[in-house]
Amino acid sequence: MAKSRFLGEFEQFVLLAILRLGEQAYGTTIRQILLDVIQRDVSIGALYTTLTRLEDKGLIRSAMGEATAERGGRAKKYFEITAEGKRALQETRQSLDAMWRDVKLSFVGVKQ
Amino acid sequence: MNKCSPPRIAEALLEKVLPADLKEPLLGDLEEEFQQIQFNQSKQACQIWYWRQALLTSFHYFNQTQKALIMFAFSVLFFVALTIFAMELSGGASMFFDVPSLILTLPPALVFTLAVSTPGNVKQAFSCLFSGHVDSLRQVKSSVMVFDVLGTSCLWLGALMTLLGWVAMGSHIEDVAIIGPAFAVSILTLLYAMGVKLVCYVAAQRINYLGQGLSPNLD
Repeated sequence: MAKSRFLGEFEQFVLLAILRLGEQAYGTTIRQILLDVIQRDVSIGALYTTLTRLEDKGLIRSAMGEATAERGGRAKKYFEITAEGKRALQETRQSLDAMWRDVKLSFVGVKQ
Repeated sequence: MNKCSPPRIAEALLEKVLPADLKEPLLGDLEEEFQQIQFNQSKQACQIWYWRQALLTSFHYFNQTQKALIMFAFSVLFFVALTIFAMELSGGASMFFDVPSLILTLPPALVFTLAVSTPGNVKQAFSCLFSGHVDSLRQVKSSVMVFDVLGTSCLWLGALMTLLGWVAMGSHIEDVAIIGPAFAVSILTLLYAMGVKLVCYVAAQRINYLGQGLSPNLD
């Protein structure tokens, strides 16, 4: 059986944020979307640690972009999800869906 | 609206701690967000926000980029702790502390080091040691030379001052009350000198190790 690659919770959030942002995915916007959508205020260091790990795994790739005055003349680092990243995201979702199937929410303490 | 700049010390901290490839994008992201939050937050709140980000981010990367500094500091602390433990076993640490003995060895050794090298080289040697990063074999050689001169001249100064103490004791050989403390101080001078030599030896070896992967062409 082929070894499947499951993603951690935060890795999934970061990959989904990159997918949602499309060509505008860089540190500030990813942090912002995580805060707006799931109310998770992560430090920029924690975010870049995860981004570096995902890049090392080949799930995302990065490219340096333009420098702007509002960034103190520093360039942006744009992130893009790779085909392998999309596959890993899909596999993780399917696995979670499979595990959730036939689970009644009352089993985990949620009133229906 | 008057925009303020991010706190310089926090920025300098990040410059020091972040890996080279992340400095530009990460500092840029922080500055961009810092400028954005100024529209709806007070100046003080913005500064606190930046400091919080800087400290949390430094915490993430400190172990990764400053491992050499941590290990060197740990080894020196371990050496100091063991020495103090041995002093306590020998009848109390207080009798081993003598400021004049240290003044007789370390400052003159530092002056000798500055005389045979340059202040820039001395600064660079300590910078290489604490950052764990060397750029060229020339930098390795000059840094190792700094620690060699510092350690060796300190050791010789210690030996010299010890002998000087013995000469002084010899001239007062009839007064036993003077000989005891004078002998202790003269031996302490040698002890401190040997301690400094040991730390300098470790520092020089550390820099040699850091320079192992460097190509001679990078000189």
